[in-house]
Amino acid sequence: MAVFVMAVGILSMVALFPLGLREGVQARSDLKQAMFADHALNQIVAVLSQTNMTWSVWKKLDGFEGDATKLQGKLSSGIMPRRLSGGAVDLGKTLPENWTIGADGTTLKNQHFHIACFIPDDTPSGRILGVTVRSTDTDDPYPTTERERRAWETRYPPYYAEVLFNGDPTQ
Amino acid sequence: MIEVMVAATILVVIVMMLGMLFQQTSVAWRTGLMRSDGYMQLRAFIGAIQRDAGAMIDASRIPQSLLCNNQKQKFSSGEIKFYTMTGTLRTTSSGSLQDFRALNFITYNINGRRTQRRLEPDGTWSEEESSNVLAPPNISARLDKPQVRATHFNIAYQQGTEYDDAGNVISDLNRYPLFLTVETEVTQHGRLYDVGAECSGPDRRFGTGPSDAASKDDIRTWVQQ
Repeated sequence: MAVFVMAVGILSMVALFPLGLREGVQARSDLKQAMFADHALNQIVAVLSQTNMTWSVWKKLDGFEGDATKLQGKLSSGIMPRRLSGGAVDLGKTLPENWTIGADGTTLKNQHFHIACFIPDDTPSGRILGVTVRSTDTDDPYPTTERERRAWETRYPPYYAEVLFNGDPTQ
Repeated sequence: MIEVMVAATILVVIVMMLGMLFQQTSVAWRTGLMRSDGYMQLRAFIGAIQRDAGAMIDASRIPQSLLCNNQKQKFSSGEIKFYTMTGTLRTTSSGSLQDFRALNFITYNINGRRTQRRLEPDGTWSEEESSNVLAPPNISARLDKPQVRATHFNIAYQQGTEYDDAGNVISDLNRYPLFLTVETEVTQHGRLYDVGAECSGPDRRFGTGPSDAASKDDIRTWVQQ
């Protein structure tokens, strides 16, 4: 009887350890998502706030949803910055580069994060563009169906930044 | 007798399990500590660059005579040099406030060395102040600390050709960047220690400690790398 009671006690104590570890993993995941969003938003804001941005491209960004490659496709080639090491900045490559998901070093891909751009409804000017970035720290790619997408978006918190239009409003 | 043996066996198993648990917890704790140490060093480096770069001005637009020994702003994968405009009101020896907003010439190399010089009110440049913001000597010399290494700066510019006030083309290396990123590596390493204990109680000997008498009656502990 005593052995049985002790076994139950020990087993219930041992069961708490995975819960503690899970909390640790989730905290790490939150931290990585925030760091990645900071990394991505800084570059996106720098690219979109350039003085060679045109109003026609800017307007097309309202309502944009997709990954970094798709965002790049929305911007004309004359807008993309150049790199000192040669060639144009490729957001589809530079944003996920060197980032991993989980703890085993799996590479972060474009499908593991999602960018949305919109002109906020409550601002009097179309010169402000809101940008959100969501990312996952598990191999949970952004889904294809609308219903699954909404569920995916509730699983991962959005990180937000605003960009001011600094380009040429006549073009 | 059987009951005593069973109870003793269970006790030994439980104690061993607890021991393993504490050992694993301690390794996990130390790994986390090393990781946060590494990120702390990295944050100091990136934070310093971020603060300085946030006050950066385009030096190709200021008079040549104000530059520090005619050094232009320069951005390469191994080193960045730029000018910032910072400052505040400082108190002079007479107690009045003196406007001391000034140009600073800041450099960073990829090994973490930061230098700063300030344009003084009399038009001269102050002595160079330098420090290593990536791995201060008291951290980098310790074997149980993580190794933090910055590998290179990535620089991006707005498209197009840029000209200075005299109409000359500014080379990419000297252009004011649109943004820059820095790539770094953090390597965790450290020593593992064994903690041990031995006893040679009444008196199977050991001895040869302080004045022997079989070292009355030794229980020894040690920490071994």
